[in-house]
Amino acid sequence: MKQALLFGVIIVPLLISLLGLAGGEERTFQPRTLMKPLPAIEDAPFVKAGEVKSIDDKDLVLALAVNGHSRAYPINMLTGPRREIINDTLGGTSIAATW
Amino acid sequence: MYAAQHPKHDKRLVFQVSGKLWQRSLVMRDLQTGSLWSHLLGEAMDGPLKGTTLKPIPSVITSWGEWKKKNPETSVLNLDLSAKRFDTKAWKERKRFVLGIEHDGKTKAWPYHFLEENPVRVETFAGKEFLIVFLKESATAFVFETGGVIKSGKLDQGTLVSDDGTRWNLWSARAMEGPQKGKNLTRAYALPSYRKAWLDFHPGSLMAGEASKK
Repeated sequence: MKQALLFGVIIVPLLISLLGLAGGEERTFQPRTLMKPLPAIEDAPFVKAGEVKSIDDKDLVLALAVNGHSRAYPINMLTGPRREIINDTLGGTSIAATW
Repeated sequence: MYAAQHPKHDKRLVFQVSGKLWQRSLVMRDLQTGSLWSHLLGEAMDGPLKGTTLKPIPSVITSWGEWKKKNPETSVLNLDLSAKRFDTKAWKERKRFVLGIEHDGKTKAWPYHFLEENPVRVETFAGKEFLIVFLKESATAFVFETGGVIKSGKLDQGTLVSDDGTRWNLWSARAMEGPQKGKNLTRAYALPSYRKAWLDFHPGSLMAGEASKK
C-alpha cells in the first residue's frame, strides 16, 4: 500500500515532468557517435548532361542554378554515409550539396 | 543545400560526415572550426560556431529528364551509384516523405501523397500567402511566396494558370502571359525530408491534410 502511494504521489509526477521536458521545444543536442568522421568530398567529378551514363530520365536529382550555372546531383549518388555531403562551388558560390 | 559560408567571416566552410547522428539524422562537421551542425536545421549545435545558421540555397528535387530539358547546359555529378531506388515513384510508393517549410518560427509540411492528390494549393501560413505546386510527371514540388497575387490556380501543360488568367512559368517563377505578365513570385525554401525526421525536429509542425495535434 505504502509502495503504491509512493509510486502514485512521487514517481508518476516525476515521470510526467521528465516526459514534459523531453517533449518541449527546447532541444538538447545529444548526438550518438557511430563512427569516426569521414573524409570530406571536395573534388567530385562533374560531366555534361550528355555524358552521364548511369542514370535514367526518371531518376531524381537535387538540382540548382546559381548565376546562370546549373548543376544536378543524382540522389542515387548521394546515399550512404560516405556520400551525404558534396562540397562544391557553382557560379562563384560555395555550397554544401546535401539533402 | 546550403551556402558553405562561415557565418561570421567571408570564408568557406568544408563539411564532412561527422560520424554522429542526432535524432537519427546526419550531423555535419566543418573542417575549419570543428563545429557540429544539424543537417536538417542548418544550425551549429556545438563548437565555436554554436548557435549560428547556414543560409539555405533554393534547390529543387526533380527528375533528371525534366531538369536537363529545362537546363540543357547543366553539369551533373558523375560518381558510381550508391542506390537505385530514388526515381519519380519513390515519393509515391513509400508515403514516407514530406515537403516542409519553416517561416517565422512556425513549421508546416505536406506529405507527398497529399501533394499528388492536391497538386495546386494556395494557403496562408504564418501570416503569408504560399503557393504549393506539384508536377506529378517529374515529381517536382515548388513552394512560392505569392504576396497575395494568386488566389487559386490550375496546371496546364506544366505551367500554372492563376484565377485571373495569368500564365506562370514555375521554373523561373515568372508570369509569362496575362494580366500579371512580368511579375515574379518568390521561391520559398522548402525541404524534402523523411516524415519521421521532420517531426522529430519539428514536433509542433502542422501536417497538411491531417488534424492538428494541438
